[in-house]
Amino acid sequence: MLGTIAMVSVVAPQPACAAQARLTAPELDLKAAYLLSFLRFVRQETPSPLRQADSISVAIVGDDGLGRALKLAVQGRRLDGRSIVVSSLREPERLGEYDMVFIGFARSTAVDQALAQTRGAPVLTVGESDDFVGHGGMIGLFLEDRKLRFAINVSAAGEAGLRISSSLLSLAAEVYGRQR
Amino acid sequence: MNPGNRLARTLATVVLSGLLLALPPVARADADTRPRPDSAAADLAGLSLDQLMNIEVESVYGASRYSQRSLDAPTRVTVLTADDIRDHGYQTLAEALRTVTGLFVSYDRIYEYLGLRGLGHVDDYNARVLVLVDEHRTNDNIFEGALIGTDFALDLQQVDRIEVIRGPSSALYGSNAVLGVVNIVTRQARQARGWSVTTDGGSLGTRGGRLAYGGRFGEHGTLQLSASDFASDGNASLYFPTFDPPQPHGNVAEHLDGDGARRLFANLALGDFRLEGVYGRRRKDVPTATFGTLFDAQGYWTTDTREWLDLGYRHTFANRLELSGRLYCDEYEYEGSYPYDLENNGLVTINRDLDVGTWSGGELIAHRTLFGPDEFVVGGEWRANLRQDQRNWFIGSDTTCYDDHHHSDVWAVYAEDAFDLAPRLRLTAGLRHDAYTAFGGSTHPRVGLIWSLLDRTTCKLIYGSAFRVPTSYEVYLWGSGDAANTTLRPETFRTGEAVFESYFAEHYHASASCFVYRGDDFIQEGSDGAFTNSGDVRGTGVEAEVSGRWHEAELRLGGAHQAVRFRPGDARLSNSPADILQASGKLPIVPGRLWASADLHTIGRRLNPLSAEVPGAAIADANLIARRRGSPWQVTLGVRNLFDVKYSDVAGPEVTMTSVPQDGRTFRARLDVRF
Repeated sequence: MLGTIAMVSVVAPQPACAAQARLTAPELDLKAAYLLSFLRFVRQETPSPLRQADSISVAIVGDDGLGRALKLAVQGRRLDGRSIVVSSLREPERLGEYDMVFIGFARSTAVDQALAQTRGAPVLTVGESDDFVGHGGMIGLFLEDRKLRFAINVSAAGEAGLRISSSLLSLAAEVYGRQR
Repeated sequence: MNPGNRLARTLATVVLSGLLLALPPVARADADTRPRPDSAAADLAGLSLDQLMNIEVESVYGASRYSQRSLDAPTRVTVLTADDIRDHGYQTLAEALRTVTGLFVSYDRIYEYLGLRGLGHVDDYNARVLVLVDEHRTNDNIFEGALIGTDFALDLQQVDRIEVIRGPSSALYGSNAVLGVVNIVTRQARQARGWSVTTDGGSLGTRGGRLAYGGRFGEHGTLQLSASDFASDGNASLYFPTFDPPQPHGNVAEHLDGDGARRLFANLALGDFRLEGVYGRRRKDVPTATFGTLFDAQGYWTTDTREWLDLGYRHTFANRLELSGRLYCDEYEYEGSYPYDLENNGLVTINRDLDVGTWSGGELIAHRTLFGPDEFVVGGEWRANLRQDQRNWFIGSDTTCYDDHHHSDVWAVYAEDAFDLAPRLRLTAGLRHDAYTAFGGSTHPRVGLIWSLLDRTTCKLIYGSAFRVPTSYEVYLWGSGDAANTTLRPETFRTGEAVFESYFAEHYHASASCFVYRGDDFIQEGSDGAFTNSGDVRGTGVEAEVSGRWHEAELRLGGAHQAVRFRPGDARLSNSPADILQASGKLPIVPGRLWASADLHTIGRRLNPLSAEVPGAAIADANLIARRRGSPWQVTLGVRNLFDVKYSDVAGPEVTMTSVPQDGRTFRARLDVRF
C-alpha cells in the first residue's frame, strides 16, 4: 500500500510556524516526526493488490515512549487520503503485515529476530541500534552533534520491493548499496 | 566494622530499597497521564525532513546519569556542542566555559581556574567543580583539581558536547560536585570516520597540529585515535606593576611564558565494551615568581601529566534495564622547578616538587525505566588511592623539605528516582553516601520538584547538599606527622534554587534561576600558608540566559548577579565578581559558505587575596569560518581580545602580586582537512 503514497504531502493543517525551524525538540517527538517523514519518501515498486487498505499501518516494537509520541503525532493526519494506524508492540509479532516497522531494540540478536519477520515483505524497517543497516535494516537513526541523522541501506529496501526517493537519499548521512 | 561503616551500610540499604519501594503508588498509576508535549509532536509532524534535520534533541545525560530533557533535569544545564566548539574556535576547555552564563575563568599564567555562583577561589585548583570525560572523573587525587586550560588532557576537537550542570551534584557524584559538574562527552566513531588533519598557528609564536583517525573493524568494532601537539612561545616580556618601583630583578619577566602540550587519545569499542585511553602532558614556564621564588629567573617551570585507561561496559536488556560499569586506572604527576636566591647573594638554587597520584577503581550503575515515565538509577563505586605522594627538595643539597607517601580508599552507594506526583508535577529524589578511610562518611541528598507549567515550560524547586574532602595537598602541604593538617574536615555546601526554563516562540529558549547557598567549614589558605576550615561562605544570586536560533544564525545572551560573603566578619570573598555578562553569536555572511562568530565576556571588579581591588573587564573574541557542506576543508581565522583591552586576573595567595596581566590582542588561524 506504500505504492500509492509516493511523495505526496501530509494532508493536515500546517501550523503557521511550520516553515520555520525550531530550536530543539524532545527526542521522542523528533523521532516520531522522522518516521512520518520517511513514509512520504518510500514507495512500493510493484504495488501488491493484496496490501491495499484504507490505512497505513505502523508498528513500534520495544519502545512504548516512541509509540505514544507517534500516536499523538498522527492524530488527525492523513497520508494520501489514508489514516495512519500505530501499534505499539512489546515483542515482535507478525511484523511482515505492517507498512513500516520501527525496531527499538538495542541488542543485535533481538534486532535480527525482528528483521527476520519482515523478510520478503514490503515493510520499511527503521531502527536505532548500532549498525542497524549493516544487519539488513533499511533506515538506521543515530544522533550526531545532538541532531538526528540516518543511514540508508538501499539494497535491503530493493530486496523488499521498496524504492527510496532520491530526495531522501540526498539527506542521508550514509547510503549503503545501490538502487536498481 | 566501626560505627561509621555500620551506619553507612544501613543507610545504603535504606537508600536502595526504600526509594524503590516507598514511593507513592499514585505515581505509577498516573504514569500514562503524564503530560506529553502534544503541540510539540503535532508541530514537528508538520515540518519537512530538511527542517527536522536542523533541530537539536533536547537531552542531557550528566544531570541524572541517563538521557533526559533539560526541562526535566533537577538542575539548570547549558550544553555546548561540537558545532559551538568548531564555529567559535575554542581551543581549550577554559575558552569554551567562560562563554557559559554565570561562569568565569581566571588565569594566573600557570592554571585556569573556573568560577561560578560568585566562587572563583584561586587556591583550590578547581576542586569545587567536578569535570568528567565520558563519565570518568578527571579530578586528581592530590589536589582534587580539574585541569581545564592547555593542561586538559583531551583535545577539544574530540569533544561531542559539554554539559554544564550547575549546583550541587554530590548526590550522584560524591566529592567535588559542589558548585557544578562539567560533563564532557567525546565524539562517537561514526562522527569521526576516516583521517583528519589540523594545523594551526598564531600570535605569540603559537603553533599546533593534530592527526586523527576513526574507523570500523570487524562487524561490531570501532577505533578512534588522535594525537595532537601544541606549543607557544608566549609573551616575550610581561610587565608586572606589582614590582614597581623596579626590584633588583626588575619588573619585567622575559621569555618566561612558554607553553607546550601533547595529547593522545584512543577509543576502542567492541559490542558492549569500550576501552578508552587518554594522555596529556603540559609544560608551562612561570613568569609570576610564585611561592616567593626569584623574579625574572629562568628555570621556573611546571609540568602536569594526566593519563587514564577506562574499560567501560554498557548493555540494555530487553526489560528496559540499562546496566553500565567501568574499571579504570589513573595517574597524575605534577613536577615543578622553583628558582630561589636563598642567601641573597645572586646564586640561584633550584627547589623541586614532584607529586605523584595513582588510583584505580570501579563503578556499576543500573538505570531502569520502571513504569512509563518513572526513572530509577542505582549505583555503587569504589576507588583506591594507591599513591598520594608529595616530595619537595633542593637540587644539589641533601635537604628534603618533605617526602610524604599516603594512600586511602573511598566507596559509595547512591540512588535516584524520578516519578510523577501529579499529572504536571514531577519529583526527583536522590541520595548518596560516601565513606572515606581518611575522613569518614558523608551523606548528601538532592531533591527536585519540577512543575510543567506549560507544554515546554517548567519551574523547578531544587535543594541539594554537596561536599568536597580536604585534598592531600591541603592536609600534607607541610609534611606528615605533627606537620600534617589532620584537623581539616570536609566542607559542605547546602543549596536551594528556583529555576524557570522555557522554549517559546519557536526560536527561543530562556532559563533563569535564583539560588542561595551556605558553605560550612570552607577550606582556604591562611596568611601563614596553611589550609584551615576557616569559616562559612553564604551566597545568593540570580542567573538568566536567553538564546535564539534563526536558520544558520544564533545568539545567546546571559548574565549573573551574585553576592558572596564570608563569615566571621561578613567580608567579601576574593575573586568573587558581583556581575558577569556574556554574549555569543554566529551569523552567516555567505550562506552555506562563510560565517562570523563572536563571544563577549565581561566580569565585574573583584578583590584579590590581599583585599585589593582588581578592575573588571569586557573582552571580545571573533572568528571567521569558511567551509562548505560536503567539502573536506575548513578554514578558521580568529582574534582574541579584539579590542586589545588591558586587564588582569586575580591570582592565589601564593602569587605575590595583586593581579596577573592577561594577553592583549592575539590572532590565530586554523586549517582542518578530512580525507
